[in-house]
Amino acid sequence: MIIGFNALGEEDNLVFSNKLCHMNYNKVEITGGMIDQLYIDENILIPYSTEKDINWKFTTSILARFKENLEGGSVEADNIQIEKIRFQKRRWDELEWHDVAEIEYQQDKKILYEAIDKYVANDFVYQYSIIPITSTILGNRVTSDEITVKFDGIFISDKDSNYGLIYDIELSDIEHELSNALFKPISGKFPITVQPETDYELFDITSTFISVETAKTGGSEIDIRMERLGKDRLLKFMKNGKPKVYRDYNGRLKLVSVTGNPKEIPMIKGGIAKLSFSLVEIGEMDSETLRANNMLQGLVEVF
Amino acid sequence: MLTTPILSEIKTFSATIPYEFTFNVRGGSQVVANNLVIERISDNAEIYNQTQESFSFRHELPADTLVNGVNYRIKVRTKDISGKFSNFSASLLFWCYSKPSLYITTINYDDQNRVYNQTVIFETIYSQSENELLQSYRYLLYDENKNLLSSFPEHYSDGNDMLTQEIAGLENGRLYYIEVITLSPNGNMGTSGLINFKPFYIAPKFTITLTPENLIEQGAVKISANILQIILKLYDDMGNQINPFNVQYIDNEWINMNRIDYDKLVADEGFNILSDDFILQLWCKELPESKVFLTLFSPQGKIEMFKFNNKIRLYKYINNLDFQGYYVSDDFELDSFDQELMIYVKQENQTIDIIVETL
Repeated sequence: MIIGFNALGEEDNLVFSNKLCHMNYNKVEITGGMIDQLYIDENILIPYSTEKDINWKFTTSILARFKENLEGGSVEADNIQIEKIRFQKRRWDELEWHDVAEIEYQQDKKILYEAIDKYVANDFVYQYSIIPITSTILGNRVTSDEITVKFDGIFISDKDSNYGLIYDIELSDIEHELSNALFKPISGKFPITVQPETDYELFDITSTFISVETAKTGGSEIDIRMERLGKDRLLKFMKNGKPKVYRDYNGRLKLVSVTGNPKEIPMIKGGIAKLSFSLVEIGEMDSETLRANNMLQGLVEVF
Repeated sequence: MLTTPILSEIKTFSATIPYEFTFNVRGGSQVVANNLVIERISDNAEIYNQTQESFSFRHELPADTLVNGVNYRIKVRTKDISGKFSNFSASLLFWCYSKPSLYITTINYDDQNRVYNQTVIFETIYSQSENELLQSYRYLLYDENKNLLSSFPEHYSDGNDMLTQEIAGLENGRLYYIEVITLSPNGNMGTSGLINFKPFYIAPKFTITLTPENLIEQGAVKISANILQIILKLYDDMGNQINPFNVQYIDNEWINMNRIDYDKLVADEGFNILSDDFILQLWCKELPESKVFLTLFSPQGKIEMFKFNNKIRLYKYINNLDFQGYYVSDDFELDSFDQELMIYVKQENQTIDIIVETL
């Protein structure tokens, strides 16, 4: 006799458990029935419902709907293997999407794919999207809600680094360099102007550099060693000759290069100094320029 | 007084069609006729020598006068009204060759001229009646209005292998035209003509929501997505995996695991329940009686589900022990054999609740 059944093979309502547990599960097998949908989720707080859940959540283990495919994950790729994931964005007033990052898809791993977009303008509204890429096909786009970017101070970044300056910021006048020429012909009443295509910005920034360690004390104690190390790191970054992205609280977002000589102005309080840089705009902030300058994560080639 | 005529450039042409030679005359008496002489290079034999009466500086060679695959020398002289001929022009050499045949094999002509990808490697077979070798080829892509979209780089090939070109970024369902043009060392130009085709493929998509988040401290935005691809595997009764493209579905939403040739449907790669608490929901119908229809495998054991006497029953096994848990749902009544069910299993603190609802 099987436990739980009487001699006639009928159930005797014995339900039992010895509380021995399975710690996890790594395979599910279906061997009978007509199957419409299989859904398993680690979140047991999801309210009970007979409605089919079609949204994949982070706690979801499998969601197989058999819509002409055997996909059970958060990808509908008609059984074709995903290879890369591309993140893109656009400003609310633009139609064109710009690349943010491209990440290799880690097969069989349940991980959160993250991209940090450092090239955003304060108080501007952006929308993000994500696209699956197989070896030969760029997939359909899933878009996010709009987000208004919020930050204080000045940030200067490249693909790998991100430096923020928030204390005593002084911004110079912004010079729009047009390099137009004026010719005064002797025989004419009016001059001749020549408008070249040159159009870029020149500006200076000055800010007091304070390390995180010093900032933590609220200024009561200065960690001279960390001030020195922090300043040296920032100066090394600013002097490396590579293009950088500048963004500030005024909503300006520029691809820049450092010109002239960066300046360190020591202050009376030991260890603290102001740093001053001259910056020049060197290009557009579109995907192509950023990719050409190796400023985008994982995006070297055009798909 | 007649001046010496100058022959215009002669491109390689097929001898099976008429060809018009042109020449130029500068000054001198009026030309009323011209005399064209063609000799075969290999043996200097005169193949053609005709005078055509015409005021224009042209001479039409009838089709099939010459032979393809042969190199010729040509000269022309003009005649005035008094019957006097000018000197012969300088001789020019030319080849006669048939036009090459170019066949693009990548396009499925039996299925609405489709190609089945976004990135396609086009392949073309080059053939030429006189086995003339190829020098180079180039692919041209046109939009639906036959406006040139892209002229791909010139590739060098002798034509013995396929003429290939990878074209990426083809939009699903859009009409395109493609052309292959070729050039031989003897100047014989060929074209496939504009061949229409339509990309047809299924673009992958995510079924996730994407949430951006402000990182105020970093002056940046973080975008994160939980992406996991699980492709279930279906095995036949011989234990062989069935190609996912050959799996049959019913009404675009059911898979019939009662079929004799469908033994088991497995999710393992990418599938994990990393917690001992979980919920499982299965929408199904026509469950077999007294036969396990779903098994969850754990490194420590397994859970089996089956239907018996209008109840769903669940056995929990621990490795090396007999079955260690037994759970049963309430009775449910089916109005018909094929009525849909929703089975809800919730494991919490190692106890399991089973709810079954008929839909």
